[in-house]
Amino acid sequence: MALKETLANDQSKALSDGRIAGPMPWVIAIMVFLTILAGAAGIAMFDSASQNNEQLARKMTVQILEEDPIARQTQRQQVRDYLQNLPQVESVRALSDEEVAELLEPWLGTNSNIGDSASNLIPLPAIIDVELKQVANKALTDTLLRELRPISSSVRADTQESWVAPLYDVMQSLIILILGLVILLAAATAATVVLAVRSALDTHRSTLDIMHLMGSTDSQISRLFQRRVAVDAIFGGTVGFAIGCITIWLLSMQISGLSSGIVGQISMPCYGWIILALIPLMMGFLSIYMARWTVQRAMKKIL
Amino acid sequence: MHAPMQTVVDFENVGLRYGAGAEALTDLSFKLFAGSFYFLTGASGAGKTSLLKLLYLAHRPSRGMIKMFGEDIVTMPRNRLPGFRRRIGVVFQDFRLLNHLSAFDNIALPLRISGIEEKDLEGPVNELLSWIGLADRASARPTTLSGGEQQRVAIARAVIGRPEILVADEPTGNVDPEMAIKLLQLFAGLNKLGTTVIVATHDIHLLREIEGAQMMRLKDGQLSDPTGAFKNPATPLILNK
Repeated sequence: MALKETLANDQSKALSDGRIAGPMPWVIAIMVFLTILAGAAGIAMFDSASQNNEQLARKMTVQILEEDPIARQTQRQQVRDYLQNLPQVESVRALSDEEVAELLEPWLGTNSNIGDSASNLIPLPAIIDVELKQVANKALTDTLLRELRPISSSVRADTQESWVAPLYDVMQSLIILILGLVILLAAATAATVVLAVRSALDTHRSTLDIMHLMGSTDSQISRLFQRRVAVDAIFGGTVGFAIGCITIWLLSMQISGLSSGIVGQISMPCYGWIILALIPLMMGFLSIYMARWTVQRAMKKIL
Repeated sequence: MHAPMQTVVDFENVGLRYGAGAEALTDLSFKLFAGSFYFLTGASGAGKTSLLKLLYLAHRPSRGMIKMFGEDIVTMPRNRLPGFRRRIGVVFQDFRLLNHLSAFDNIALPLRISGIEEKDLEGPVNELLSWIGLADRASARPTTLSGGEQQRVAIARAVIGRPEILVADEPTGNVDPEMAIKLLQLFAGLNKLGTTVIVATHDIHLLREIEGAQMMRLKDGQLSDPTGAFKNPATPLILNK
């Protein structure tokens, strides 16, 4: 079924009005808009999840839980130096005490009880961010810990995967949910087209009967409807896409203003815009196909 | 000695039943020959329209065999029927013009369906509009035309594709006697060009207007052959005027 064939048909005058039914382009516009929003959310989440997952999977946090601040500082320096020289390690960054205090501020506050002064009740751990050349698995963590024990008996190593994994599980579930939503929206659009075309078939029944008796083939008759559905789908798709893009742009402006880690990193990749641009086209083709299917099915019921 | 004429329609023991009702047509067996002119008469409810529906392929029979142009149309796959329908012109009793189209577009419709290019259909359509005396009403919608004008547009639409068979259901029912005779002469002209014409009518006075025409009479869904219409060569309804 060629779109060119659908759009260029000399028998197009045979049906009385230009469109299948009044509200159909607007229904398609709403469906395209909702699909674009759902699609954008899914793509952005998928992109963020896959990017962060790859980065975080290679990250590890080494903590030194030494109460004595001088010993802790010495051990931090030694552990850092040791890690830097390992072939599996890409980079190492030891966080300053101020940075650690800032990290813990949401839980511990800015109380003077924390820190390394003599009156401090809560000692801070030394934290070292390690980026590995490979994925940080348990075997590697255990090996590193074994090698670090002689330097510091209180050393601990955590992969970031352990705390991020539940979040990514939720994100994956959301992506699957969004995919289901997109499929449901496509199905709803298809159903809308079927109902509109059935109604139009009833409206134009006498015209179609005449054309049928003059020798119109099922394909010729279905092209008349496909043409009208294509016009409605182009209009609805364009409107839905435009409103959807504006909405996504406004949302992305708001999201980029968030300082929250993972949420702040969510953005629409370039390939995402291409996929979004394909949504109205896919909806258009789906609508045209459903129109053809509905008409040909109806025509087969008559001789 | 007459040369045998080509059979264009061949009915054999044809019956037609709508749903579970009684048969509208029973045991019809006849042949129609190329280039002949037939009148189909009978009282209301005799089955004239049902027979015409079989002839213009709106229905398949409930039983029996129908051959058109030498092919069995009863068992023919439905995707081949449009090609056969294009060889048959139909004038409906109620015209069935498309009210949203102009007279020109109504007449051009069969040619468009046949895939004729726009540039190639203007000439024949305008010529036919002149022939039926409606050249100046080409852009008029059917609702603005009189009954007689609509009838002529319907006839022009039926004949524009030069059909091999022309089926007309009460084509003169809505026009005055003068126009009726004029329309029949139009059919006769087409018949002379080789088209087989079948006209269903109540008006027995019309039967004498066409030289060489034959009559088929339907009564209670069964066909009689009062003038020898089904013989080959058929006995004309009138020999000479």
